[in-house]
Amino acid sequence: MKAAIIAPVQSSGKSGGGRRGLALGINIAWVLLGIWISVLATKLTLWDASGPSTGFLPLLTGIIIASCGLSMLLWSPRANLQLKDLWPTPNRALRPFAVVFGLVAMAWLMPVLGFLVTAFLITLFLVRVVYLERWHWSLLVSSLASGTLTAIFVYAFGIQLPRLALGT
Amino acid sequence: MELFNNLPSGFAVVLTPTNLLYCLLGSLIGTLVGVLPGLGPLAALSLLLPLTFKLSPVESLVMLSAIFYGSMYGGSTTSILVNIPGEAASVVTCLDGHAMAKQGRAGPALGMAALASFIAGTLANLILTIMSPGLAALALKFGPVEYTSLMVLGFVTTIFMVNGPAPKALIMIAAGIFLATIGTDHVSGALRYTFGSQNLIGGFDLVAIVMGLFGVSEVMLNVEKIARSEIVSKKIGRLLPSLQDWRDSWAPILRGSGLGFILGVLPGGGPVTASFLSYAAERRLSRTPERFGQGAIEGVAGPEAANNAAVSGSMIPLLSLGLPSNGIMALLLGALIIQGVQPGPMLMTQKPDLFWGVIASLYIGNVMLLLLNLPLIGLWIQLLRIPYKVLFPVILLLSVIGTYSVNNNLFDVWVMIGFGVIGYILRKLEYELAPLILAYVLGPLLEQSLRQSLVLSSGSPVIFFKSPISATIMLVSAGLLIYFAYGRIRSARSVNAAPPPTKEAS
Repeated sequence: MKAAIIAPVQSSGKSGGGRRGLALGINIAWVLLGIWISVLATKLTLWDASGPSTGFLPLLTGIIIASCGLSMLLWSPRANLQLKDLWPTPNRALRPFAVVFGLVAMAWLMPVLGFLVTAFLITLFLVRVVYLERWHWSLLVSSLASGTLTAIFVYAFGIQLPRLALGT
Repeated sequence: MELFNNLPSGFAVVLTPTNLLYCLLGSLIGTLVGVLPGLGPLAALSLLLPLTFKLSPVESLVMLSAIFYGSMYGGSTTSILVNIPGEAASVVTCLDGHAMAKQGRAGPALGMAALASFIAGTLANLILTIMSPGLAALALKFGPVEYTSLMVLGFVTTIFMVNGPAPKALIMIAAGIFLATIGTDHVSGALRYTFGSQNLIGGFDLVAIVMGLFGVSEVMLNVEKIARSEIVSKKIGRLLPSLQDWRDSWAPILRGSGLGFILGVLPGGGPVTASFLSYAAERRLSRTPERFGQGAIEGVAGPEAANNAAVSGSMIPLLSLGLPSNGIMALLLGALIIQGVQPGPMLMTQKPDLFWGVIASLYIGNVMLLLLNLPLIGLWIQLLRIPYKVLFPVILLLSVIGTYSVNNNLFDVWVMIGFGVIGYILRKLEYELAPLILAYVLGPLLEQSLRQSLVLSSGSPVIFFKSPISATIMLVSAGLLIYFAYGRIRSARSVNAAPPPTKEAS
């Protein structure tokens, strides 16, 4: 039996660390989130005659989040983490954001254009923009993906998805 | 004796054309999920969860379980042939499996991975069959106090098992519990953190969170790192391992089965931890550890046995106690709750068809997977050729369909996108997301049992040390925490005591 063994070509690009850290910002965000949860929890009933009440567990989780954030802020071993460490290949750093943009556009357009048309347009955008594929390939992938999934889920499984007046 | 009556009744439930079909479908989808890099079992289960709403609880659980253990089988194919793990539990299989493939021994590596998975899966199912009734009987003695203690133990072991610093795991657990508190308080009926939104009254939907954290974030990570593939033709050769391969592998398979089963049962454990620990154990026990990483078949047999045994092991706490031991089991619990079934000690007596049917399906699924994986290996290899640029829009569309179809509400899609971005950032910063899902699913049960316990004791936490079961669990949790803290302090001291790196070394 002959088969293909595919050896991946991994992208390289490890960059050096800087002093000002992104981890610092994230840990501060945890502390602030914990404080916010705790403050809002205190506005709920924490304890009543029968014992712990509505705000008890949220307060506990808020305190834990803030404390852990603070501990990492003070003793974080990765305080020198910077943007380059997280996105070592800047030319591909925009791809995830294109994915989010595509999903946001889909959520906006679906009630207006229906699932099938929106799925086709968004898939076309993603394949063309994220992987910079040629138009004919992008059109083929988006037609097949949106058409097949609509056929399977809407017509075979009967799942309700937003539709246009034409029923697509 | 009761066992000999119940298991055949379970087989009678599964050996119907419909259930066999769902078992086969789950095995096929699971293998596909395992084979295709960039789609893990958790994301796949969440994608398919909405489809199971129309199925009966037995059909639903049979299919979802088959996807889980099917992905363990399929993951090894990609690891061995491509050197990219199809899912996280097959990461270590890359080390020796791919080395074997490069030496022209891809066939025995694939064969041993499938056979070790089958043997371990069957052994673990046997232990599961024998142990479950006893555990369910013990679990009948559990009240809110014991449940609270057990969940505390679960969270402690989760912190212990995950990679990275403990505060990160603790933040994930606390964030999961917090997310579970959003919406209506089921005890008092009060609204929490809804900010006047009608959509938040029922809280966030589990499917939207899981799909965002594991589906969307996975795509976001993959699109920036998957580049191109270089195809080299090599001969796979015969799939059946030689006698020498069996001599080298039987002990690792048995050890992997035991280790995997135990780690599956333990809260916070699961196939990923099991495969890594099995590999480390085999390397340590080997007389020739230098062969590991160079194509040692023990490095394939042990971890593959361990990750399959862990799947059966993790069924024990779910079916007997109603407590999931990892993120995937949390999703299965969610699926059962959506179906109106509450797993726990009463499940075996109240729904014996479901309980024994699922256990019987694990045996049948294992046989199906062996038959699917070995003879159809050529088909799975062809699937590896599907480029990611085709897969990723399909995964995203499936995520949108899956999330939207739960409640026919676009708000859930927005929640999914939000959690996708959060998951992407957290994974970039090396936070593990499985504890968050585990805590999110356990959150309501934890809150209910904690509040009930404290009401019983008029607010005194001493109640957790009054019942012998609860006191034992709490002491074990405390012991683990002390052991964990001691280990961290010791490793920090050894790092500080180590001489600074020389200029050349750095």
